[in-house]
Amino acid sequence: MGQVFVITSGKGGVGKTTVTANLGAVFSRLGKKTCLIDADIGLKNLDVVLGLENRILYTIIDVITEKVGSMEALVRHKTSRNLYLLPASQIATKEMMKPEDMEKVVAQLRPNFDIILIDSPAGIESGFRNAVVAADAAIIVTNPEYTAVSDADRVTGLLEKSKISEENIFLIVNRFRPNVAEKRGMLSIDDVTKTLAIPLVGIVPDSEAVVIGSNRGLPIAFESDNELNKIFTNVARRMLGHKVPLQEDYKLSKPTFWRLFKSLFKS
Amino acid sequence: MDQSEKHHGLLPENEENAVDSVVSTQRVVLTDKHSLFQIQEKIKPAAEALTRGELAVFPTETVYGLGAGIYAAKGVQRIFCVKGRPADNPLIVHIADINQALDLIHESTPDLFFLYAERFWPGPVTFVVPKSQRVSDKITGGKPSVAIRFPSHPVAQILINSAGQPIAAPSANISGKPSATRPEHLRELEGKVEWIIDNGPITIGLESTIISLLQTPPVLLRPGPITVEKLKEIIPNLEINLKSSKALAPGMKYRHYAPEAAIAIIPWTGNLTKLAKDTEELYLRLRGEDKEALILATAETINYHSARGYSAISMGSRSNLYSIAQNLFHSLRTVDALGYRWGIIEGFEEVGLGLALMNRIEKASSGHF
Repeated sequence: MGQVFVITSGKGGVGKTTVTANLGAVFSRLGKKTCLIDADIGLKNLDVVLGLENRILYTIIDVITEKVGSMEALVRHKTSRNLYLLPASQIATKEMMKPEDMEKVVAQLRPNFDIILIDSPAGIESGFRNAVVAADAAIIVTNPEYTAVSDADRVTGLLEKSKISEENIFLIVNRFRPNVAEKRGMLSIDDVTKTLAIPLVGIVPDSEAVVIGSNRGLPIAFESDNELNKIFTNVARRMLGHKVPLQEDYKLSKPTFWRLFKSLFKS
Repeated sequence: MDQSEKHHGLLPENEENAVDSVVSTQRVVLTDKHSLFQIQEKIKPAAEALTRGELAVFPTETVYGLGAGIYAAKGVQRIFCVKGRPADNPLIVHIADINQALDLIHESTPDLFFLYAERFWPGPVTFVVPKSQRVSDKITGGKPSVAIRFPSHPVAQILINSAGQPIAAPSANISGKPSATRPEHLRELEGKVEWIIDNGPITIGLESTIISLLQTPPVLLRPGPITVEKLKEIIPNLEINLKSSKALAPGMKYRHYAPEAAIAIIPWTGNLTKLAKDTEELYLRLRGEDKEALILATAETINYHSARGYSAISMGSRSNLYSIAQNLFHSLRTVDALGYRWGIIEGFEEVGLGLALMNRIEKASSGHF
């Protein structure tokens, strides 16, 4: 029986879909049969980030309306053969889906996968409730920006009222940039964790490579031997309950941070 | 509010003529120990006051800013009075979320703005774009364009977020003086603004890089902490045109960054010994004329001067121009603070951060010696 995570954020534009795609890539590389569910109905993009937009035949709405079975609707990734996507529907509206529908879909998929990641829409409305209802655990993605942290706090409050237990709510800080001179120039990891009292499972550096990977439909974590692949692998292992010190992320990030730091203040 | 202190002005505030009257200044001291929500609690009264026309000095990653809510016309007007700033010198509008830019920009703004904003924000880069009707002419100095920045500093972000509207803010200093980068530089604004949010010394110490997107290709209007080399990775066709005399960007038209003292620059020629000797020559010549100068040296040259008993301070190391940026305005202010009427400052090669350093140094010295 697979583990089901919902990936959520509160604020839009923090890179939640990119994080979901990259986590999908590393889970499948770790040998886990992985399914990504795009619950961002009306705004499909997980398929684009994964480079699968031309392979979609059915969407989650077709499963809900019982046009096809849930396994039949999945799109298999081109290269990672144990990574699957249940696409969102572009034409459907959020109102076409109810929390019970998501519970049914997940119940059907769960026996066939080790890991299921649900990409939640931004905001805290009906789409969010649909995405959260069937999950065992939640990952909150935030950025080192106050509005993102403040929205993440709001989502944490809502998740604590859902059936997800408090110890299963985790945090990823995405698009982290070096804190210049280790002083108050921008939000630090310490600022974020001091403010949001939930366990941190990953620090993903702000990197041109992540952006380019998403734009090309080839998430960076599909490539081996880069720092970002290793960072996302660490995040995935922490999600599986392994003890991987966060220092590892810092260490891996350092070359990236250092390059950025040097280019910011090239002398 | 345990760390706040209240300064009562000598005169009662006069509603009719608030711009000239003395106001009571409340100082809110923040440290790195506060969580973001604790900061939010502490600065909430200041944030709310900004929407009613009060003024607040607040930290950003570049320099301290003097802010007013952009929809508080009285506050915006007061910024110009308090600073003694010419009315045609535009203010930078600070936002805390990229979506806030949507209210400020005209529909003719190029899509590239969003691409660039995503790469450089939050951070020390300002973009000049066509303005929407919501932005008053007071803020833009009568121009149809608006300068927008999303600062990375948590206190700035929280202040803007809590105010619920963008904040127009030039640097927190009297016009023409060096920008404020340390809490002690803010004393000149006590009695003139209602709030001073003190978060210690500023990290970067140089005002933002300004880029105009009003024409193609984009034009660099003011060099800053993000270097031309870094900008060109994202904006390869960026045009560098720093000689334009028109007031296209905030702080570019008028003499700026200058202490009371006269400042002379010793050009950098790539040789430390020559630099030290050229500095010494001018220092001794001035001394011969009974003019005692303060040398603004670097870690590489300070020993040369102090060993000879010359008055000199170090701005930082040439191996890390960032350290010099952090201390530049403080060093310029130190010349005045120590009572010197002449200052001699070392020059830098105009590449990387050196371009922004030399831009400020030249303005501090222009036509003055």
